[in-house]
Amino acid sequence: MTRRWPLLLCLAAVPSIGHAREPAAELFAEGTFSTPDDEAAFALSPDGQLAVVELRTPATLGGLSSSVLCVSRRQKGSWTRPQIAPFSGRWRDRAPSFAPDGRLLFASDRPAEGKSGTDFDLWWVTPGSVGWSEPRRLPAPVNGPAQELGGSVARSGTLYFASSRPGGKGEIDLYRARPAGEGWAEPENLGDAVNSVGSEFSPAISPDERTLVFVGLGRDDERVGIHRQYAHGDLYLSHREGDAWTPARNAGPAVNSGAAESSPFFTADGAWLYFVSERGFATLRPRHALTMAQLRAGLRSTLNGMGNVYRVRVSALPAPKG
Amino acid sequence: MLCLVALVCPRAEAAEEAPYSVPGPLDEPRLFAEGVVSTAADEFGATFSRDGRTVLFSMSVPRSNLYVICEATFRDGRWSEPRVASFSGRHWDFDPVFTPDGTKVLFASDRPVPGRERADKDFDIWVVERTAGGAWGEPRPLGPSINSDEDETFASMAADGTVYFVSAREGGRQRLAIFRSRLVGGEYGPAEKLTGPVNDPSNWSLEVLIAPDQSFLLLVPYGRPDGAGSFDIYVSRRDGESWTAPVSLGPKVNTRARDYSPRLSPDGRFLFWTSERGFATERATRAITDAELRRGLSSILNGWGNIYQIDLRALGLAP
Repeated sequence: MTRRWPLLLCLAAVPSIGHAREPAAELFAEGTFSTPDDEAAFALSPDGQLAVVELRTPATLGGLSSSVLCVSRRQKGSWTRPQIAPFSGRWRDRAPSFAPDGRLLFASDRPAEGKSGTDFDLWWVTPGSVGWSEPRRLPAPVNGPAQELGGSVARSGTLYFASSRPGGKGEIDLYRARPAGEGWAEPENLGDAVNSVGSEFSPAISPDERTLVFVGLGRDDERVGIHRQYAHGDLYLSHREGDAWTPARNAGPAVNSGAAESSPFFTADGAWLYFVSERGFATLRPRHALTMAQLRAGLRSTLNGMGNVYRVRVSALPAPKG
Repeated sequence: MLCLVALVCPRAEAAEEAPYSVPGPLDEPRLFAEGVVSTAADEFGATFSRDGRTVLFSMSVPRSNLYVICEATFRDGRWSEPRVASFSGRHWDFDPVFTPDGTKVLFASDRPVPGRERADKDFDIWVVERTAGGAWGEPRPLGPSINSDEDETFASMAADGTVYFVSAREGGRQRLAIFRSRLVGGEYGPAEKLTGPVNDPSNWSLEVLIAPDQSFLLLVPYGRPDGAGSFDIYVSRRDGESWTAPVSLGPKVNTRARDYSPRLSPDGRFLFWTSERGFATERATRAITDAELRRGLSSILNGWGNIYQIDLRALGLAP
């Protein structure tokens, strides 16, 4: 527990002008959703009674990891211990995100009828009072042979998602698909204000569809830890003005650290932004050489460098430019 | 009596097998020092002193936040609880490799170079000497034949002193290549880029381990179409002044997970390497249960790196 204070103090010490100090992001539900294991993504249902956490198996950068989705329910004011969802545990299931209608969207490399590759696609599953529906793969033109890596649905039903499909600005880009009939219209690339030659993924659209938060990887203004060589990703935000997006800007020190930030989402009331961060005891270079006892204690702690869940008030995020 | 001990002991020690050795052939991978060196944390890149009684390896803080060089010694028939090496623990230090004569260790580090203002600019190759008593001297960077303004990420030394290393000096991380620098009259000569397919883009490797007699080298390309997955260990043999097309060390060494950081044991018998093979490496044939997941995550085979060994003979790398 004590090990998290130095970092939070660091973040809280960022000066602000003419206002009370901006509140820093806070660790959420330590021991349940923030543990020494690797919580790689997190989602809350619109009514706040159901939580889904992506638990990732360890691997170093470039290594092979698996992910499963675990479910927890709010009961008498506390959260039940997350357990593997009945629809998960065999394939790689990632990036859970609740739509405003209560359905759960996630990315999975599971097989489907008419699908030949092992690429990630977007899937739906509906929670019920007794169990979950069978997962259903989203139809074309949302899913295709490229990687579809996670999405977010606005109140209007418009789907924002990340894809490596050809024709983008580079690597992984963000797309928007408006609802049409039973499915979605042809996805549109969100354009140069949002997408770059590098990777953008993990979109979160605010319920009113005015603010988009996402991960940008390796941009020039990314907050880096000890090394610039290893891009980990920061959260960026862009505001919608009519059909255009304001140039994405770094979400700032209330949110981003030198470690990876990812998997943002807005609560249904639009008041909170939740996200995952890998900030930990060694994100910054230690002042003194670590002993083995310090190293082992750090590795055992919640802040061991693997993902945890944080939340910050949306009012603490940078306002639109201009 | 004292005289007698002094006369007998060195011979007895020389005849004694190194503690990493095993009786009989080792044709299948063996987890090294399970629970002591290979633990639920991330260990990689084990290298041994000549007598085999000191092992250095790296530990990482997830996910690639900090690398620390650790040390364990063999005493009273077992490996001691590892400690952070006296020269490490603050900067990014990784990939220690003992020199064939056992007097020095090469490693990669981002520590500040004397006369240069700050750390974290790039990785360089450093050398640290081991005194007769087993203590470590003050690390120093190798000279400009080897270290450039770009990253040098791994170095190993042949018996004649030639240093083989990986450098990004030809332009950033997308241009990693294997170089060597020969020892001529006590000085390291200019970096020579190896010729042949070892430096093709499909073989870009962060690591190069040279055999003491320079008859072969091991490299670790990522995502080759004929690979088992992620990083895999390949061998390239010397062919006059060139090097042959790299060949995978095969399924005993390479898995779908990351297999990397090769070393040769000082007695020339074993390959030591690091593998992230674990409970979730193979494709599941059914859904994992909650209990299986929790057990897997807390086990040594949770997916973080561990140290393995196998006979070089089982890989066709020794007669």
